[in-house]
Amino acid sequence: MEAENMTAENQQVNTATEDDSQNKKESITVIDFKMVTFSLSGKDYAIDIMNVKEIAKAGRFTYVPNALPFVLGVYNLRGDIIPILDLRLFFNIQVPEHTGNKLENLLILSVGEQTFGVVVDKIDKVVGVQKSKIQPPHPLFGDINIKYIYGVVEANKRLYILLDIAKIFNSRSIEEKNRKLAKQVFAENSISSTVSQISAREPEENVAAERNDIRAAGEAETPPRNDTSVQELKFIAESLKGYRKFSVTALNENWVRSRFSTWKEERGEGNTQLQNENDADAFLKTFWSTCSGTWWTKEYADAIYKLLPDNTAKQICVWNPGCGKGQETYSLACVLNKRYPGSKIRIYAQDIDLLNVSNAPLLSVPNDIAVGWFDPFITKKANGEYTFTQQIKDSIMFEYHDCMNTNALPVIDLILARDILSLLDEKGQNAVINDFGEKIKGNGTVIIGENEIILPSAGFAAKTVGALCAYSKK
Amino acid sequence: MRVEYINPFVETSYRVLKEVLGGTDVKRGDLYLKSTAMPVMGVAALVGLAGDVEGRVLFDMTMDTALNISSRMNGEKLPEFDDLAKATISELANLITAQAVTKLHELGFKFDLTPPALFVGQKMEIAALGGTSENVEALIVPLITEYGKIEVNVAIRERT
Repeated sequence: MEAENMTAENQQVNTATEDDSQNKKESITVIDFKMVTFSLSGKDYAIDIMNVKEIAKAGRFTYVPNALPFVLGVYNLRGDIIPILDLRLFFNIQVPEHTGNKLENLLILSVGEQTFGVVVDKIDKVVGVQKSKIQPPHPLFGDINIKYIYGVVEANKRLYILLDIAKIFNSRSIEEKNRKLAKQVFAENSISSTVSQISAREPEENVAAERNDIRAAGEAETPPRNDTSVQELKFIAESLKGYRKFSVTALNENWVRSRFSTWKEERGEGNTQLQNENDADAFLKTFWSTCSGTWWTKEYADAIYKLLPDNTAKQICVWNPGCGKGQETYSLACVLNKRYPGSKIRIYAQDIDLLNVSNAPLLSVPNDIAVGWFDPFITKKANGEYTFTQQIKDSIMFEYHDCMNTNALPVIDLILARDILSLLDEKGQNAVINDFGEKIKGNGTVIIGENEIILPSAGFAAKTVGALCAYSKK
Repeated sequence: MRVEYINPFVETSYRVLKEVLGGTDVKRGDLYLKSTAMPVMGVAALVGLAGDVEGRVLFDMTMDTALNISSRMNGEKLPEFDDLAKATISELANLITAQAVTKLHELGFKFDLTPPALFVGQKMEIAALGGTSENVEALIVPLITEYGKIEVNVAIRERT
């Protein structure tokens, strides 16, 4: 192997030059650390060879339901069943599309007593370096969370990012464990004692049982343990509906519950009711998703960019109900134009607020926004104001339309409906979600509010990319 | 409905109506969307739209309003809803729609019109079914004059 040869050479050099001057001695490399190098989306990474059991090529892993998103499945390695993780998914790096039965490059790692398989783009070779040459990671490393980087080292004029395997596997699994523990604790607490412990993390069955309580408390027998709490929550749900047309349903119930517990801490016991619009707004303050209804920040736009799957269709149709003043729609149009430069983008942006949506086509861009990541999509109007390029404008069609009425749309690649569903009544929500299912393509993506959940019964499966959650057809 | 379509219809119906009624006071009610089968007040003039889009514009008013307006437009008191009155209301519908379409043409949208059709009768209902057996969504522009109220009912959708 090339690397082995090189090592041998280096050692020869060592012995040969032992007598040389002090100066020269310092530049000599003593190989005391070997690492297996590989690449993820074109960049070089390395893992301590002591953690690597072997390398292999394998494919068609057995899918495990309910596993974390970066777990591809399990694989039978000569009789041992080992879990297979995708490092690219783990680090939110772009994954090249899986084509058929193509075998994946696999590094079999052993960490402690456990054996894992990790999928990487390309396995390079074994490289020997001097341990003291490994430098600590710089905080500016973008793609990978710094806590998973052991260091950076240069070898053969290439920089390798050395991953801390122990941390990657331990930390994640500990995090998961903690989260599960927390869930249990929360669930038990709410049963045993304090009324304020209604948590978003209760298991599904409890939620289902209590869902009825919120909406139909009074008629149904409510468990004595959180009677007042359920009543208060029910009042809040009604106030939200009254003041802000916010319907508490399965879609957002988890959020409402967790918000209710923090709300109680903010307001104190007995002062939880929403007296007016301001209270309702304060209650809903944390509901709205990142950059909802406004210009997207670079970070959010990049996150959406990563979330979007590859699509080579000539025309990409997007449905954006509840576009409001249009800032979000324009942001999306820019991201889509960047993501799918070869495709024609067509966004159906709709709102029931006539004034807002009427002004959307003529929206001008504030100066501070125009200079950011929007810059390539901005031109200047004759009067000096910034506006979007014709290409962006042509890709959006603003409509005065109520999505609860018949939606006359072609088949859709992407639906962006953040925080809008919660403002429809329950029947409307179900009808619109149902319509999502009818209109969306098989490989289409649905993005809803960060605090909203489409139940699996609606035929959608959630997938998480980074901090964002999207849905696609089951 | 595409927002670019709304203003031409609202503006021209307001302006044309004001003009044909000799500059009387015309008030515009709040615009809204409607998607149910609608009862017709008594007289309805319908103009179909084709081209880049498909749809129709419906002018809905009571018999009294229709009589008042045709009397005013003809400069004589029409005692009953005769051929002249029918032609007048049809012409009004044609005027408004044609001018709106002209405006839209200037904005780069290509629309064609059908000749107006007039419906007169009691207890009529218009159920315009969409592709999926639900009702199509229509924009309602209420116009209130001293001769009565006219509802301009515009349903347009893009060809997909």
